[in-house]
Amino acid sequence: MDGKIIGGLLVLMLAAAVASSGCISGGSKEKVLVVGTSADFPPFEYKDPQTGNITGFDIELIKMVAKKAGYDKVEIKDMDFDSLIPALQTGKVDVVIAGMTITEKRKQVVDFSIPYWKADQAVVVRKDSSITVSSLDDLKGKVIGVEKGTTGAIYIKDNLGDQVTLKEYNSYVAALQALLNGQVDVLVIDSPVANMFTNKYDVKVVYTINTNEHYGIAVKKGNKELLDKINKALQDIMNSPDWNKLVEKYFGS
Amino acid sequence: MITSTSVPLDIALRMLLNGAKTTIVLSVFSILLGLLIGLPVALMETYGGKTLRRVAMVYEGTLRGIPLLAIYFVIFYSMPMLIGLGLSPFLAAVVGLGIRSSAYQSQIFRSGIQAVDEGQIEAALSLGMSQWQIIRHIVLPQALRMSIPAWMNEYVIVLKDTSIALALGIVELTRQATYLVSITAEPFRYYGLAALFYLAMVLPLTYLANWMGKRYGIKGTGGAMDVRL
Repeated sequence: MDGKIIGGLLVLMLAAAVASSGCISGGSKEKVLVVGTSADFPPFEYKDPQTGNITGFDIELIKMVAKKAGYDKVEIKDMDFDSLIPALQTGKVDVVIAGMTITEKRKQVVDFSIPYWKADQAVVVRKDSSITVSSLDDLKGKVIGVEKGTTGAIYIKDNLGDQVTLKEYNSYVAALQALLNGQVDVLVIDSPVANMFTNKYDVKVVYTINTNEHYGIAVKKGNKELLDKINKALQDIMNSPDWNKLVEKYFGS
Repeated sequence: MITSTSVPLDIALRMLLNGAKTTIVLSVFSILLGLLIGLPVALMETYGGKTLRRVAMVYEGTLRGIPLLAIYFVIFYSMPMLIGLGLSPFLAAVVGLGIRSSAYQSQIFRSGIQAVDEGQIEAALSLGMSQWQIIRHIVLPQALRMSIPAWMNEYVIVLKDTSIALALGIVELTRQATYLVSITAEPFRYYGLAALFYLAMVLPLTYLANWMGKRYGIKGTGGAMDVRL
């Protein structure tokens, strides 16, 4: 192999290195809020196939918050959900908004804003199912599907334990398939997610469990200045008609 | 109200195609970085003195022993904290996959080097050639040719492993498919399409590898394959 070819490759790679890392220090006077999210959780954040842009309830909310907090622009950085907190801790993003539930464990490593959304767990069955649920006890003895590691999964385990047969799946999509295939009879998943596919698939929501979970915006631990700005902005927005408009846009009325 | 929707096929294909382009670019940069580092490491390990050999062995042993995702997290998250060197996601992805591949490539080249017949080396030495001349003119030309099939296989592996870069936020083929799946709740369709895209990229490479192996391979070194049945 010729030295020239290797040399050429080396130049190519150096060029790529310079090109891809040089753009970050913009030097412009704009105040940019760098937002971390995981665009695989509609309707909170997802990629719009028509425009190719990341959009959703969370995205529009953070843009409103940023504007109120005095930022000129928002830069959305999409990544795997599990990478979000490390990204916050290492300063790769300023805030994280990703339908992230406020939990004690997470509070140990990041600081959360005031809650901006209350999430419930929906109990979903097949449309032709005769199962009715008027209380948690009605779930006893059933085969329940959940998404691994979610608050729904934890809730069922804590409250019903081995009074149900629990099947865990890596994603809510897989759990939905299991319900449709008959491998499980009941699904327990986040309400917004459930509402997403009750129109398209033959399933219905028969009960809503109030698990008292709340979503929050996360900032790096100790970043009180930013947190205060965000909280103030959130309070203003949530008390304004803009909030109702946003909720109606993504969740109907 | 946003409900799960269907995505028109042409738009979905466009998204997946963009992802495939990123996959290919990532894989090319990574395999080349792997080559740039892997070949010298192979030489160090075969011809180096005790220290050089030990360094090479530790390098490739460590990188072959750590999962790629862990390598990515160290480069992308730990490195900035420890030594203050931050890389963009793309660069981190290329460097991570590149050095991982360099570890495997060093082993590929090493076996190619070791497959060169000793008799040739002895003959070259008796002619008064220096070690470097022997490596450059006798060993490497043959070793590299014999390494082609295994190297092409490594490229296929690198191409598939680019999907792990989605953890860093790189929007490659698998991530595009995940976007589509999360909007439509149709995993079979979109992960299936993504699989077809991967196949479309890998199958031609496999044929190319076989063809190159036959065209550039050295007759007499193919073992049982040299016997035309």
